[in-house]
Amino acid sequence: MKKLAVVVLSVLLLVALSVGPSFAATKTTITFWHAMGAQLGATLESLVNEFNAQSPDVIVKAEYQGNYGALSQKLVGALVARKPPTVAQVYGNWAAEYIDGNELVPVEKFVKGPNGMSALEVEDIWEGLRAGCVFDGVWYTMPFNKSVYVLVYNKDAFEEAGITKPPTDWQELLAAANALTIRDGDKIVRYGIGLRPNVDIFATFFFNAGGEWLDAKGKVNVNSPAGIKALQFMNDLLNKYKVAYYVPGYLDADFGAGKVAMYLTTSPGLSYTAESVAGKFDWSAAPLPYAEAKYKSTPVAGTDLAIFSRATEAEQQAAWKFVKWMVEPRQTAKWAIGTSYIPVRKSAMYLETMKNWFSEHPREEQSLQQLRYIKYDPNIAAWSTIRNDISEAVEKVFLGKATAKEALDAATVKGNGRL
Amino acid sequence: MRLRLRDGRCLLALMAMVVGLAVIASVPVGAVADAPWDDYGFYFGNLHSHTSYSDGVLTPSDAFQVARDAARLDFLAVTDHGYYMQEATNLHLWYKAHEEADAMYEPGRFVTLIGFEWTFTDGHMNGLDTAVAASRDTQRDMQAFIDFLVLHDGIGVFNHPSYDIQPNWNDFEYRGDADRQVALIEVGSGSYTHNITNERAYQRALERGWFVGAASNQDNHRANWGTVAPTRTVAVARALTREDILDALRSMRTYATEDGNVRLFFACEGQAMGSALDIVRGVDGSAAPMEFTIFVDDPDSQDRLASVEIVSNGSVVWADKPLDAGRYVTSAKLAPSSSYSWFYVRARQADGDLVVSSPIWITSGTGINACNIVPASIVPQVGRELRVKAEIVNRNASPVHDCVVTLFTSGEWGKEAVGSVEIDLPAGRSSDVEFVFTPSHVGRCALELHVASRAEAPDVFPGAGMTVRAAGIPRVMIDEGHNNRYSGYMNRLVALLADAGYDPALSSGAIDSALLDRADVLVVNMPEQGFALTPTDFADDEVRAMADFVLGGGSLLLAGWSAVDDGSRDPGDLNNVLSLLGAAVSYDADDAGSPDLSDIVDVPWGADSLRAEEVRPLRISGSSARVVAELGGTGDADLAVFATIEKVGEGRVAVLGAPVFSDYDLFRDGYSNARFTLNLFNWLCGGEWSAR
Repeated sequence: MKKLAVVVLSVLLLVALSVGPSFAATKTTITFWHAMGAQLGATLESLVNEFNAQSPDVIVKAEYQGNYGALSQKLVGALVARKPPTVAQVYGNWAAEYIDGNELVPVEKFVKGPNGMSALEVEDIWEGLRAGCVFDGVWYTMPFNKSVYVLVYNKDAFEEAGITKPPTDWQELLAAANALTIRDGDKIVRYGIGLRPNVDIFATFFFNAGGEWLDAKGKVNVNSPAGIKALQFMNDLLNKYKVAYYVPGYLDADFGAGKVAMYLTTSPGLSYTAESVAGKFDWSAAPLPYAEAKYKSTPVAGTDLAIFSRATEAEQQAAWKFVKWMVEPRQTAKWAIGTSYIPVRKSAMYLETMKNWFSEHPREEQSLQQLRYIKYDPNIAAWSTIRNDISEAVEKVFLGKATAKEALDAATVKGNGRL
Repeated sequence: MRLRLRDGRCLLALMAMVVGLAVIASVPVGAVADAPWDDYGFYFGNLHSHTSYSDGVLTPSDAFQVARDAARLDFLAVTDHGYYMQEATNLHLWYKAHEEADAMYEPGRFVTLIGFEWTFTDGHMNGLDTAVAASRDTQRDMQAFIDFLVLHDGIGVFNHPSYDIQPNWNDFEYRGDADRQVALIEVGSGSYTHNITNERAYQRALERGWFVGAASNQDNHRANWGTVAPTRTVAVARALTREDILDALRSMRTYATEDGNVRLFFACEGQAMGSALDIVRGVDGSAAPMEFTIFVDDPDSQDRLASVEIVSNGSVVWADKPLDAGRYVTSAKLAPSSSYSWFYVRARQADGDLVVSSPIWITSGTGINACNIVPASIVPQVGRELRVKAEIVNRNASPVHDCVVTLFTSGEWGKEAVGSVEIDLPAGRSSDVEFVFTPSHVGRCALELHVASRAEAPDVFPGAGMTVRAAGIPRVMIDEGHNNRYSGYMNRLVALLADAGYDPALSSGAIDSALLDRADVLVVNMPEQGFALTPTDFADDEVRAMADFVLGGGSLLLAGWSAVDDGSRDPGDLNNVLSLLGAAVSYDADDAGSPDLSDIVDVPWGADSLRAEEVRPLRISGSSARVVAELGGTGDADLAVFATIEKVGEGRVAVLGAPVFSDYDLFRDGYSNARFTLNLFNWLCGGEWSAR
């Protein structure tokens, strides 16, 4: 009997081997452009390899394009040359631009198709993330490497300053920053909080003051009272109370060196923080402080996956298989564990691996607490330039070259001119 | 003074002399054969550029080709971000870049270099001539990066040192180990024509003891390596080879230029820019003048020289306006003003192009530098304790023990030692010293620091000048103890008042009689409810104290702020003070809060105007208040009142709709807020209101 089994197996194997090449010939190869380097890139590679190994009919060629700036440049160049990849990581405002040029296929088409997603599966994607992928009512892209902002704080420093819990509102944030600032004569040895002069860090205050990027008529609304309040508060931390400083670059090294006791970062930034701190002190992460509890929120960062319309129907279908697979609970959990991005599917939270990981990584879990409060950038093509206008305004105010109102008024006029 | 050049042309030297510097003579330079620049070639290049190997475009090969063929550079360094080339997937790019550079290197024609940019929060730096690239992910702080440079004996460059974009390595805090590797600073940076905008940082680095030379790099992120602008770093080298270019960079035999082909050489006693010379002592022990030579030559006849200056220790110490085009050669005898002096050339062409040379250092040779010798008090005053701070830099690789540091002041009354401390100076670091003394003479005086590290003559470092005021000048107290929008934004007012002979101070506590005993004028901005570390309104006894202060002869300046709909800006407390004073003016409590009401305030006493934001109009209920400024509205009907002055009791009160004297508005171009403010203070201190 055993012998027979061996023979049968051998025959099957021979058959399999002989048809193997013809199988391979029918496989559809698609390209996937991404901007994930280092650890993030390694995790992505391993997921892509896993997909390729288990997929009978699709081969994904993942191609690293450098950072987001490089990826954007190359995508624009590739679209001009009419040779875009099949799938790419894209920011919402890039997608808006591509959609204007009819360059993307809405994922909605596939979701409703034969190899689609059930209503339950769709609802399993965090609503806030899904909403960020909808353009003019059409669901175009798939949330992928998403993160939210958290407040990172030095627990040892908090303890020394007699602060028992991370600040929840701005008054507590100000008081904590003040208590954590160490002055030695005219010099400041440690600042309470570190800021960066850009639109992303401004957004963490803007949303938490009740700000909305666009008003009901779709006009730029950054000079609203909430906008002025947020920028003024940031500036007050810097210049009125001198409990904060700002740098254009990343703050993890300064945090690790004890030069600053709190700063704001996205969840994948926590791994850098851990490296910088290198066990020198105890630290943790907390939700972003708010101006008023009703405005509690966090900007969501990161990109989504887009399928390009220049691909053939077969390639598009292959791309969809890959995109759908990538955000399935098991994969999104692996992705989250490898990178500290948030899992885009709610059910991933019930997987043992994910539960174990969060219990070992309480800081990362803080991100999840914020998932219900996410806010995202407007999905309009002009937004990437308007973002620069806002960053410029923030920088001007930090440098004392304009008041918050003046700078945001100017950014609003500029921004509306771009719409 | 007339200068005669060796080709017989004459020119008028327009001198800008600085006290303490002796210019003995400017004399013709000797025969051509002696010219030190004849030993060198002038090689025009760019030491900071990117390709798609990080966040730029195309490849190093493309960059080299564009730089060589289109921009006609002599050398180009491709310096992609280190962290791109450290990532597991991309390490090969570093080696690939080298391969491409080697393939395109043509000694004598075009030098290709591969370096990297290290992006650190304190400031980005380039590294050249290292076997591998440093990365922000691996070299996570300054020390790690310096250790890396030392290990690989690399050349460091301070990149785009603009205070607007980065903290500039803790404001160029001195580190001896780093100083031995960092050779250059981007006096010019960026892909545009007039990119020499970082002279302030250059001077700061030199002032704090760094030996760095001048570079002007383009930081290209697009396919415009060298072509985007004629800005160049020029290496003055023996030959156009990698070794010679790197040697020129390490030796700081460089200059930064906005013109694509101007040649410049700066020497002292035959030693090229980048050199350090010892002070030559005269018979009386004082520093003898030394001969500086400047050579400038632009092959383009239209590129005339407009001015040539020598900058030393932060001041222009020699200047000339050449009258003719063509080659310019001159020399000047200058004596160093300090035991640690640096000199560089700044030349400007008629089209505005700047050329800035690397420095020449003339020092005592002790390796000691002192800087930041400044009074810590805003208003030095006779009979009042004054703090003076200074920073001593030990550039040596070993510590210096038992240094005696003595502070002198000198003025019309002579020179006197006012304090002395003894300290040990750690190797390659700076140390702070502080002196406390009580000035006894009114008037201008200069600070001077003597540092005696051995038994021999001390090093002498001139410090800042200061004006010692007489006792009894008007004291201005500015309240910052109650949360208002302008707390922290009164620094320019403080400086303006100090300069004008007032004694301003900021108060962060409660307002009571003890505080007011120390004030002649009290300045109060309207408080704001909201996130604050200080009270957001005034207690009743504070309101009472303010009123009593004025009734008893004090002066009060109030500034308001327009309403917003959340009620966080309430003029109630200020109106209570005015009501207790029986003043004829009050803040409009029903202000609708229209910030756009008027940004401009017309001043009736002239054509000038004031600038203020978010103004709260005033209400007048009697004739004792005199209106001195009104809001400029549209049309001429019922202008709202912006500012009044009024005598009440024994004192005076001025009321403004908004603080025209905040840091934001005091010195706006086209407005006369500063003059109006000084006029106000003059009136508050017993003067008459003057229409002009």
